[in-house]
Amino acid sequence: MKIKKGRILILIVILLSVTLTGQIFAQGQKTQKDGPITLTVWNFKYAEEIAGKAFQEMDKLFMEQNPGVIIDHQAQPESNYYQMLLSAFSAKSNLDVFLTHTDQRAWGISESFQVLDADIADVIDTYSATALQACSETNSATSNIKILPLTAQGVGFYYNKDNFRKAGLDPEKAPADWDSFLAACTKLKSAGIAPIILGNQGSPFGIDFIYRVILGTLLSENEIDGFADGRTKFTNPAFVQATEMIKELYDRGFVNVDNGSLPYFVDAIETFKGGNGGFFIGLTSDIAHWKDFGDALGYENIGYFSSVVPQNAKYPQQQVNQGAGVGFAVTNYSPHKEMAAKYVKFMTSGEAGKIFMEATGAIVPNTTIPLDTDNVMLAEILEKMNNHPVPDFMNRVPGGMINDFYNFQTLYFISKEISQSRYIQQVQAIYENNL
Amino acid sequence: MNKYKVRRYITNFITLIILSLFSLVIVYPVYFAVISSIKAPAEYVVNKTGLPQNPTLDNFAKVLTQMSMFKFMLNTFILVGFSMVLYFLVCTAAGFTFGKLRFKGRLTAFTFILFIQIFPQMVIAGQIYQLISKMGLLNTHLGLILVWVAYFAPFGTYIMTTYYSTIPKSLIESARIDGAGVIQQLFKIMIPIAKPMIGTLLIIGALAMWHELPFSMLILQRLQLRTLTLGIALMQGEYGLPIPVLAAAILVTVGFPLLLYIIFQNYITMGSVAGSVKG
Amino acid sequence: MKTKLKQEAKDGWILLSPLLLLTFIFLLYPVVSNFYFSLTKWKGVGKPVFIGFENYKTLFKDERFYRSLKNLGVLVLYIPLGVLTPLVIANTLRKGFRGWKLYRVLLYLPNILGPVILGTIFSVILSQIGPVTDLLTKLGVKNAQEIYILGKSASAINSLAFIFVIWMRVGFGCIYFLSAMSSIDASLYDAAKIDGTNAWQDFIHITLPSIRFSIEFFTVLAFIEVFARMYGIIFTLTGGGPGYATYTLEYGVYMISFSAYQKGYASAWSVILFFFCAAIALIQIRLIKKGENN
Repeated sequence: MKIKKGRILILIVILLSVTLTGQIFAQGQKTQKDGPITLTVWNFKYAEEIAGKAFQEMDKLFMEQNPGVIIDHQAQPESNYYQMLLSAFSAKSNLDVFLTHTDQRAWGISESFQVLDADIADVIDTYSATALQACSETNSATSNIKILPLTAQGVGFYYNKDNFRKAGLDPEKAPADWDSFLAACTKLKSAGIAPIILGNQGSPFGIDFIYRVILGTLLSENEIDGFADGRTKFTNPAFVQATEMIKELYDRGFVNVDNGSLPYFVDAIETFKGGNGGFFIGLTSDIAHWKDFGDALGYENIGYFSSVVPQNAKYPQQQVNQGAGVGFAVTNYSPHKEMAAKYVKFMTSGEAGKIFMEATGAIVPNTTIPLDTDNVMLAEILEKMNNHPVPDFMNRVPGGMINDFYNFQTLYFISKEISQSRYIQQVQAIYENNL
Repeated sequence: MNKYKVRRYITNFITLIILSLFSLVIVYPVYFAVISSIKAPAEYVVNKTGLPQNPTLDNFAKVLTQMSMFKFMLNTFILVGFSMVLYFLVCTAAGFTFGKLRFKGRLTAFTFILFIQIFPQMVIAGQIYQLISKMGLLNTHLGLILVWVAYFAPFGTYIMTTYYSTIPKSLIESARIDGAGVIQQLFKIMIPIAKPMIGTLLIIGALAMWHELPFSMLILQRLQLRTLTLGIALMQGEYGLPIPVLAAAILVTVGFPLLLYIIFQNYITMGSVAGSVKG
Repeated sequence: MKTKLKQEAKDGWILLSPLLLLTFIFLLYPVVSNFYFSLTKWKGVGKPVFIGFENYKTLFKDERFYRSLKNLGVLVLYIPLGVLTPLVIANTLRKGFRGWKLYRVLLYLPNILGPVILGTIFSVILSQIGPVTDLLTKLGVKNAQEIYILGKSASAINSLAFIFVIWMRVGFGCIYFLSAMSSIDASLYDAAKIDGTNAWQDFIHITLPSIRFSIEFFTVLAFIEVFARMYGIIFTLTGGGPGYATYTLEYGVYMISFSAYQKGYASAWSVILFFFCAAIALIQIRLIKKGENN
């Protein structure tokens, strides 16, 4: 009996000492004054296969150029990323640099972001102006810049030229307007090809993306900005029209589950890369983009156009361009603000950006990066993104409404349980709840 | 007599069907995860439910190399292991007090414990983060261990209370050592008596901790410290994972507990209720 | 005698101190602070601004709140079936059943896998393009995709209820009730046999009254799980949708405080949830005290 009691006591002593040492060790990292500076970086893309490797390479380069700085890059789960950021800010916990989207999820908590205007004064013209606007609290290309852009994100249509040929369509002629788009869908469908490959299981990204492109052609920049503060309502005619257009695609069987045209978003990408379907509404960075599809199907077999353009479009040329999809920011309470700003500058510079671009195919909005203009599709995308950019309304809407908005898109378009007027009224209510 | 026999056969048959249906609902998802995990993503989109034509282990390789799954597993063991020691001591001491000692304020304290255990994690996660951060316990295993024990011990205490209240007082009286301090008694009397309950407490506590997400996600923000359950959330990224890779990640995450379960199934299923039952 | 009692009180508080300390710090403070935050406008960071009962006014106008209550109502309606199913099965198994051990292993498996994993797998299996749709198509159901179990309001909440309230709890329930039944004095049944009662009468007059406490306790646990432990499965299975079909108070607290940065408003939801939890806790406490007195 005595021995057993002794054993338990020893176990407890070991338990306490191990955990306490761990704790002291962790504390020690924080309180070191001299010696190397450690920058803690949070990143929701760091656990992704390709992007993660690119970040590691960029970090390595930075640490080589800046001896005495250690980059402590931590992957965080995307699903709860902003919850974690909010918690970190509220407790001012150890965090210097973080990757962030440039939408309202970031602006909702941006009082804890450091203004980087002074730090980037020398390189400000290497960033594209649209990207800087997206990164500025006041939507200005020169001031209140709180994020430095890593990717230029846009939404557009990719199409499979082989399947166009099979359906008797001219592969070099992208549908110029809504009617010719519908005509192409009809032809594809009668040739037995799923006209549109969408990923609408789980979250309806497919519906979301079509909304973005159509609203981009119907609304002015100012009207789209109005989604941020309630000025533009979801009951406005443009949103109603976009809803009717998407509904038409469903009603005519252009988006259905035959031929797997409606799987999960990442499975939909796989389906399109497998040579199925006519159109795919994809991105210009991240995944589901020119490089993703070009590498799989051959660049000569993929075409791109920026939007399906309704007859009454006021801005038919527009390319939805978030300016910046994601970027790096610095916490305003970081003890190493200067070094953190230097790191953020480096990560979005031509040198590091090139590594990221080559690995992921993302378009980095840095003018010093030479782009492969021989690539016709990339050139087309860049021309559109640079010359006809229009903001993305989903970047303007309050971050808290996205989940509920998706749930009602499912209810209306996929389950077909509610009427159009009820749907629109409901979306407006969700919007007001979150303003 | 014959009528009864027929009736008994019928009830048995109906029970068999119900049990089989319920079992199918668990067997199929596991089977689906297994066959999906050995399909290439390109194959999955054309062959969702069939057996894989070209089985591959690439998805598992991807999961294991991309995420530090072994590190996560080790962390989970350390965390659950140490938490269980503390949890067991806290629950035994409190359970004994509630079940066997009689003094003023006991019922109030017991009521408080039963009351406080009910609240969902989401209601308190934010404030717990602030507390842990103020105590300087952020990014330490100790911080999470304390929170886990605080959140899960009330239920464990309740189970131990039920158990001790079924033990005849004479058993404790006979073991009582005059003049021994209360800590000495904890180790000499209460814990030996609680032996049959170690398994039950261990299963209930360890399962709850193993599956816990919000607290571990918020308190442990560094890869080196993280737990297995977070691995899937981390891997999913912004747009999700192809189903086959997701299936592989799920199997890696549940692989070890599943193995333990298969080996100790008799002990675990029966142990999960031992002693917590009152006639 | 008096000194002994004093000694017991002293020992008691010493033994209780770790538990009380931990719960006071980590549970009581966070729960109570919600009451204050519910009267403020607060993002979760920065200074809370006191706004009185504004959040409650918003809450009582919020459609999500009423949908949550309705959905909780549906879930609660499943609880009797969730208790009865394992109870009836256990009663049959009481007299021995070949193959029970295998079933026991399978039925308890959901507890090992946990709600997050199960929710994730089921969301794939029950999706519009999943194996269930495939199976229905193969069985000759036309337009099986239209069924879309998780996409339709009625089937989404009902399948969530079936999975969480009945199916996930059957394994534990059977084992729990079997264990309780095994402690019933066998002579009670023997005596009944002499009286010539049938199995149904035995069940009603002997089994049920004997394990009454276990049944009540299992029921209370089901209430706790429905009101306060469902976040993981909702998040992974349906995300609260389609529409608000599977939104609950607990899920709303999460979405509103972390996704919409309305921590103050979410605290008002928490307070409402607090009263539901408190009601359940009071029932549980009464139950346990009654059990103790027997």
